[in-house]
Amino acid sequence: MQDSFLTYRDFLFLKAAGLVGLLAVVLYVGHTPMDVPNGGTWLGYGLGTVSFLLVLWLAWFGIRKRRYGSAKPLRGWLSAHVYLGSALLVLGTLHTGLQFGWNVHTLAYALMLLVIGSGIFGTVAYARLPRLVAANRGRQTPEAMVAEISSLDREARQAAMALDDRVTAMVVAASDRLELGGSLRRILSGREPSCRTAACIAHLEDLAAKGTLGLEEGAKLGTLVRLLYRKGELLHRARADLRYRALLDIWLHVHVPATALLIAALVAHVVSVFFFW
Amino acid sequence: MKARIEQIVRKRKGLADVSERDVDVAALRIGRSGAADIHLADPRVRLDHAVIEGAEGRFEVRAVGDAIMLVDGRPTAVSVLERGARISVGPYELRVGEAPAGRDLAIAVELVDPFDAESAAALTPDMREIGRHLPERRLVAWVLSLVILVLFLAVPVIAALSPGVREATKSFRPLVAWSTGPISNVHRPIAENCSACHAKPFVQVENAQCLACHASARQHADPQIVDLGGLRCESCHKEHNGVRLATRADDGFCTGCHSAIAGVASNTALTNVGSFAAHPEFRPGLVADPVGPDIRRVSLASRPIESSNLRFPHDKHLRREGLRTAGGIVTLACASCHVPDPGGGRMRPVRMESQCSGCHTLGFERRFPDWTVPHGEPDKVRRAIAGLYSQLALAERRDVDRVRPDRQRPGESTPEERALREADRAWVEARTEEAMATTLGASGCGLCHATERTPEGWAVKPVRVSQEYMPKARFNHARHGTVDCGECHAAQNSSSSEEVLMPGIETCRGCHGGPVPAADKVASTCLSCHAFHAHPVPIRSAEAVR
Repeated sequence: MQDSFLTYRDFLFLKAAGLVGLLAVVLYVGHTPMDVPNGGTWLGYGLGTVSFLLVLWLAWFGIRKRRYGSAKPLRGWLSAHVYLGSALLVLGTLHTGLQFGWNVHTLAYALMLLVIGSGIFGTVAYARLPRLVAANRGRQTPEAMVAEISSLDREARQAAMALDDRVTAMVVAASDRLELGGSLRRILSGREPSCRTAACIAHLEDLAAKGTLGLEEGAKLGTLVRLLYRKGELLHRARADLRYRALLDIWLHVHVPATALLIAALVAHVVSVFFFW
Repeated sequence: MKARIEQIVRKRKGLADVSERDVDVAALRIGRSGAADIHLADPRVRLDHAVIEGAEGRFEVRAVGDAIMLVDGRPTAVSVLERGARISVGPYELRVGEAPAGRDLAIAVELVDPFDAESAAALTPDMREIGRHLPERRLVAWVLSLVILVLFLAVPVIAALSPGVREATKSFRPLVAWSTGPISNVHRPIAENCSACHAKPFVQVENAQCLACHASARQHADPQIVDLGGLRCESCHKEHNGVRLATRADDGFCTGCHSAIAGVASNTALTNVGSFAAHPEFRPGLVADPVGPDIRRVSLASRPIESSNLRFPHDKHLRREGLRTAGGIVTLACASCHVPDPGGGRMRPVRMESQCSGCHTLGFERRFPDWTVPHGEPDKVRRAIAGLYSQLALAERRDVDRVRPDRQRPGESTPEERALREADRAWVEARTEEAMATTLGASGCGLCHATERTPEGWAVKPVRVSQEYMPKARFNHARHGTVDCGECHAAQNSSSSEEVLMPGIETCRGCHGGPVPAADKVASTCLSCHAFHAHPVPIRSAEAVR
């Protein structure tokens, strides 16, 4: 993980975020509000203002990164986004004074947690998954895997021709469509609970175990099984690849809309607090 | 059966390559098997899929077992072959044509649905994108943001501004979502009425809203001495922080001004208080002038005396060996005379009738010990004594009837009668004067009171005891009930009622230790003993005056 957004400039923004968080904690502990700690004390207003501005700045990153033509790489920005976003967790939490309820204020806090939580998920995903993706792919792109599965399907159908109708039907069923993805659960789990290729392999293994096949038939079955083993392995890797790519992507489907909701809730929060001052 | 089989192979450009062959069999077998008469080389076809049988122009096609076969698009088990019929077996279509001369049957075979592995792989590529399984990000963001802004901003704002809308939306109370926390218990009756406190949008809660109900809330200090008009109720009383209404209670709030009180109130009589440890000695309000109304605050450090015109030696009454009384030996305790008020906080005033008269009877005539005078003004005492002696005179001078003539005009008295009365009056007068001297003298009233004989008669100087030594402190005797009276009030050894038996602050410090006390001390803040709203004038009336 050399020189990644996490280690940028020797953890410059991690140190900055740690300092900000520590300062906030020290102020909070040293603060003796009139009543229980809450967002309406001078420290509460201060933490709230800083947090709100920080949210806007962090959200600005989403717009900033879409801008092309910027000569500077975004690694520094991303590093700051990740670490200062984590510091927001401390600032925002202290701003609440740990007062929660069924209201727009706690709604904003919950959305903030959702945004930061999904962001942390994304950070971890980007820090860990690319290596797993590379290791899983080897030298084969996902497109090459699918192409090889297709050609294996063709060969398997050919190899199944001489075998009995049940085997043929199972091979046909397994090759009828590519058993990859299909639903969010299947993509994210990387598993196919009713995999026809696996069923086919299991059936053929059963047949072979019975030992009732003739020599010629046994040889044909052996060929078919080898083809299906290879196909099964490819399917497994293709599903893993799909899963990794989905994990690298899915958090953004939470992070981005939740940020918009957070800003909306924060506007309602700030207006309501000062409307009924 | 003599049949002609036409094998049609479509080329890329749509051209058909037709190869013919003739078969002569009893039954025409269709299947994947190498032994089939119509050999269909595709795994989607069964080894033995279907069979055509018949003779002399009438032929039937029959599916083998449960193999699936379509005739003219309909699943069929057995069907008579008509010319032009289309039989689907797996990916193949078999069309019945016109039989050429010498043949019973003509069948054209064509692979119409070849297996395409690439298209199978590409069948559902979209479903491999997670975005396809999720609603569109931007749409979600816009729609839900709008929902939040409407539900939690627009609707509450409209409800806050319009009583009509508020009434209409009463069932789901949109403003509840704005509440920053539970309202205090005491304010629950107005919890639903936000505008009771939040009168103007974007303006902090004003004192007028508080005073609308709390009309009797009192000033902190005399507005003539210090003007605290700029202070907001809300700076000390915080709402929406739980069931208990928060009240500012830290000492810093008090010492902020009181550590250098002249800075905010130049003509104050108060001394500076920086902390509990630095609290000056108590200055009880003492009767400065036994006759006038003047109460003066004097520091206990100067060992002040209070001239109350009452003689009461505590030590004599609290003698451990007891007091000899008519009823025997009586041992008094503090509580024998000092009775707490119903709240238990303070002591009731000591009264002669209830607390002293048990021992101190007000008799004046040795011969008649039952004769007592009322505890009161000398005139009242004199009338009572004179009345009793008059009774005695009347009872002893029965011979008054002797000097009365048989016939007498109304309202007329005889010289004898007059002489007799004059003698009685003189006697009663002499006895009364004698008794007055005894009663009001040093052995009677004078035992406790300052009495004197003036040309106009006997006089008792008024008793003036401070009713409230420390009116600015909130002391509750009941809450100190575990402490012996003598630990604070040195009455046991007090021989004179001139001594002020109020304890000094050092006595308090024996148990109390300020806001951050030592391990063995009770924590106490300014507000443990003092009230903020201490001035008798209500805030409201003072504002009205201004």
